[in-house]
Amino acid sequence: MKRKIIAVTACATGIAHTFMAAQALKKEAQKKGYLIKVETQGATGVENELTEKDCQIAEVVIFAVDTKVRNEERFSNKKVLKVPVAAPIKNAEKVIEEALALVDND
Amino acid sequence: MKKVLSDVKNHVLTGISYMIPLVIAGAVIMAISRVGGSFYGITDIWDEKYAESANALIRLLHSIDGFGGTALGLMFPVISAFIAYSVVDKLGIAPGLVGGMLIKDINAGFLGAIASGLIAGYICLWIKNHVKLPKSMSSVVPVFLVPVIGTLATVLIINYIIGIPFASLNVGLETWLNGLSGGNQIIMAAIVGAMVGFDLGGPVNKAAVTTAMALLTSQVYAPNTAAQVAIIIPPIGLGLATVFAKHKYNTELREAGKSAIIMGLVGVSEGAIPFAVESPLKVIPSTVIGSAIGSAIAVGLGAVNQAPISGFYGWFTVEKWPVYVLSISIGALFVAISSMLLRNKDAGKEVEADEVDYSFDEAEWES
Repeated sequence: MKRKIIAVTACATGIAHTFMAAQALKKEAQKKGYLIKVETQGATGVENELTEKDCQIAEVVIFAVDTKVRNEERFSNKKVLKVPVAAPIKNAEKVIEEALALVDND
Repeated sequence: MKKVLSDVKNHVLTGISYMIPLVIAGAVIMAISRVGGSFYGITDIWDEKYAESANALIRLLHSIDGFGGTALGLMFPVISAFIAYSVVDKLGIAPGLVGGMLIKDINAGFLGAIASGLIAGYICLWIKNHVKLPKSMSSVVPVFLVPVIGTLATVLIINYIIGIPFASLNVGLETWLNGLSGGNQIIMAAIVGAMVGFDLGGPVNKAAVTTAMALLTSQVYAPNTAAQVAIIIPPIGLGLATVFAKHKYNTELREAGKSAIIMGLVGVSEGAIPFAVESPLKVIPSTVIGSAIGSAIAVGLGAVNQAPISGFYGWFTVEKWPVYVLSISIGALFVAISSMLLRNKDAGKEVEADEVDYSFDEAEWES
């Protein structure tokens, strides 16, 4: 079974970093053969919103954000890795591995 | 401690992200009225006497200036409210709004508004976490205690503790910036420019730009002029580099270059990011220096941009706009030429196209 991850990305202006971080995470996940769903909370609002079901299915949550995550209570019983929005753009592999390490080290 | 600082940074950036649309709306609406006024040779359209003008259009322009002011007046309440919201969710909004309004009334400035949001947020968070009532009465905390005690504590702290120091800090900053002349003012402009060019829409950039914009409400224009020039230099410069030296950029970056020029012309720094991500050590020094040069020239030669607009549609409302456009061109050319020269000859080799479909089967997700 493939590893399953969900992520939320958001930056202060919400037009560039938010979407580049999402892209970087998806690209890296595909390379590694993981499944990832990324919700972007940009200037135009929430896109690809993660459902309750997505939250149940995923093993771990990545917040790549410089701002507050909207509707954060959805993730209240999940392990969350919180990093600046620039982190996955610089090194998505490290972010994803750190997130998975959160669940693997239990 | 590091954790606390990074939390605070996130809270402040959240507040700023909710405030930016208000600043843009208010300042652009004001700029429309002032540009309109200038067609009638009026330079003080906000003066009360134009409310009684015989010309209906002048009366309209006068009112529009006021509407812009209404939007700008919400700046401090909104940033304060949304910083508090970021700390403690919905509970923070009411105390944050009230605190921000008080900051506006006592003229404690942008930093005061940030402080107000943090105070309101953390007080409410503390009440929420520490006040334990019997279960039957627990709903009293969010519907009564937090709004009342949170708001009261926030305004008392602002009024009696932080208000006066922040107000004098604000006045001091204004006086200092207004008193800067010649060389010092150019250095200030260069620093603002360098900050804006440093992370292209990231936190350092936002700190410089929003502080500069906030100072507009106190009629301090030089930092804003510097910031607006610096915002568009990196994307335009890097875009031009891909035009000048096609062979040094692959298809992907040449495309990014085209959109960077367009994003630059409409005033969005972020167009430069693909280049900064690809080779940060070469691109960032060149955008920092290029933006600093442009800002220093614009302010040094006396251009004054009174609106928080960096796009081309704002250029012609700038006082001494030929100087302003010249300074943008010089900065952008510096960025273009330096980043071109710094690139290796073979940097243009093609990598695999990046148009991959990342979607996957929903069934696989649920398995």
